[in-house]
Amino acid sequence: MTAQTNLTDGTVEANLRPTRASGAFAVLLGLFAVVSLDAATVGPALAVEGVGLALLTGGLTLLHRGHRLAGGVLLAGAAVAALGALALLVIVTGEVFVAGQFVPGMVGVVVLALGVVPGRGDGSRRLVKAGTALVFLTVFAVGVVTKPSLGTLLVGGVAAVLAWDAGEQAVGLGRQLGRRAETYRAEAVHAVGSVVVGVGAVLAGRGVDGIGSPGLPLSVFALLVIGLVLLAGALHD
Amino acid sequence: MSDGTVRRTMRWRGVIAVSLFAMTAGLLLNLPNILLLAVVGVVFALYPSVTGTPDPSLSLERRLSDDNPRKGDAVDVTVEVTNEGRWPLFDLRLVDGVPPTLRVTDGSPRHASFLRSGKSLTFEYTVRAERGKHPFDPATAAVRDLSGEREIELSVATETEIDCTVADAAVPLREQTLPDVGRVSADDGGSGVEFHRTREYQRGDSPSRIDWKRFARTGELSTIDFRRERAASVVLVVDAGEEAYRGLEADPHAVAYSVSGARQAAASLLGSRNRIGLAAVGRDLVWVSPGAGRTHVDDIEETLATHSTFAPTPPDEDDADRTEQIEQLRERLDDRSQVVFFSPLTDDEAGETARALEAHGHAVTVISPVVTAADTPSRRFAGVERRHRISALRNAGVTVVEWEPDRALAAAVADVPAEGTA
Repeated sequence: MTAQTNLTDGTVEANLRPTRASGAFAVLLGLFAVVSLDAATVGPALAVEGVGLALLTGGLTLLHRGHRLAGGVLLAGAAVAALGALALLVIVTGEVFVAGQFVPGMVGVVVLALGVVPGRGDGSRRLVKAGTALVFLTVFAVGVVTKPSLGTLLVGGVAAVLAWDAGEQAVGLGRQLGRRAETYRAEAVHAVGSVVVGVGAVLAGRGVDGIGSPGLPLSVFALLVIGLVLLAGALHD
Repeated sequence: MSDGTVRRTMRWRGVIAVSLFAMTAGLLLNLPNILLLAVVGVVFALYPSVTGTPDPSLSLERRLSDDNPRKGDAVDVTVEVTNEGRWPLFDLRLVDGVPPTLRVTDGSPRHASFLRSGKSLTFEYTVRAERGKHPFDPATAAVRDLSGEREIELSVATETEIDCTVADAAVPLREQTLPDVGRVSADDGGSGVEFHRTREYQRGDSPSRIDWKRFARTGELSTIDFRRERAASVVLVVDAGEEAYRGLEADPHAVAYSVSGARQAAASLLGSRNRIGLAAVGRDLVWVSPGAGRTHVDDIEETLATHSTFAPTPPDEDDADRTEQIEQLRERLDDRSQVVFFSPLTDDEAGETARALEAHGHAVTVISPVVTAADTPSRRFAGVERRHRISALRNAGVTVVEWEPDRALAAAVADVPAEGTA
């Protein structure tokens, strides 16, 4: 999406893969976005998926360093964990329809992880975007099907956006500076800024809800939000 | 100081799509909570407009563990960057301008950090010294605001140089001139100091040039011609086209070697009587008219170090019209100019260029840094193609020097006669 200024130096191997800290933060935020929606239902499945993601990262790293057998074993383990996580989800929820709303998110986290822990290449903004879009789709689906409280939805949505922000930052910093460079301070400051804005977004959502709740019809309410969106768009360009 | 322009990354543009999606879905499904998810997108879309545009002001200091290393020594480079501006820099990304001829062996010349106003940060990396003088390029800094929406790129310069010539005094790099270069002297006689030939007296010849001894001996008037003093100019031409940016994985590419070779040649020609010029084809045509003297050679070194045509990254193919550049170069070369052409000969055009210049009456010497290997079939093929180009050039009367960049250029040139018979 964003064109990147090309920074170069005399070295040929700079290992321009996504930075570790922001990449890990992005995946954790993706998991958090899904688990925050309904911890009791989806928690166990996501715990198993987390193990799978760790195996995936380890496996790809080993493959990258040329340990084919060990890497392959870990990747196979990751695949088993992913399938196990899906099975566990269906068992816990007991209903395919209820389970289905979490599936895009669980797949999305894996896609996001593949974007920042690349098997090949220097990471992919496209995978980061696709993965977090799937996570957001789960937030949306839960909002439609289970209808949790507004606060829960807002936290899930914000976490999905933050996951994208951290993933994009990991890929961008990786392309410019690479993994060998020390970048964690810049990453931490950026993440703190985004999280503060995220908290602000949750509060703003509740605030708008407070304005709208004394019996405003949905269409008027919608006009209010449309106005806000247009304002944001105008300020942005 | 902020010489760069502000670039909008537009990274937050996507959240507006999220807002529109949530809004539409909320309306269609009649669910206020979904509608309110749009507020999340709105807040993030507004985020970049509350963070200010960075206006960085940086200073840089480089310290070397050894200014005068021997070849192969590890040199620690410590970079200290200070935020001279009034505001903190939230996302400062730095890439130091490692000399393109040197390799980083430890650490990274890249760094990113948060930097408060008035504070400094340091980082360190190690390079391996190679023969020659290696000036550092300016460091490149990219500064982003907190949201990452605006990015400003600037370069921070400080003069640093790794000088690996003095320690190797045993190798007579500076003293030795390139034997094949600058050999041109005028072939027609006239007045001067060096004897050229004697000929029959012609009316109007200066009495001081009459061979009086011979007149005393034979009674015939004859005139001595001296070799006419006419400085030849030598133009160093560097091939910096896209194809010349080739190199083995961890090694510098051929353009870096060519630039280093041109620098060595300029330094060694300084001692001769020839005038030296510089040209390069690539991103843009580079032209420094032939001249003589220390300051002129300094100009040439400066151009080699800073001109964008010698940048570490290859130009886009469409950027440069090579044929036109060579045409312009030919117009600027005066008839007596010799050409020393630095090119890895990785494409046919480079060979064409050398042949065309030779055909126009310039004595051409090609110095070709060897950057090919023979470990894979495709590389072997590239090597064979290059050998073909070299023998085609030699058949056309062009001297070709194959230069293993590990060696001093003078040593490679000294080997030429033995190789030239092949």
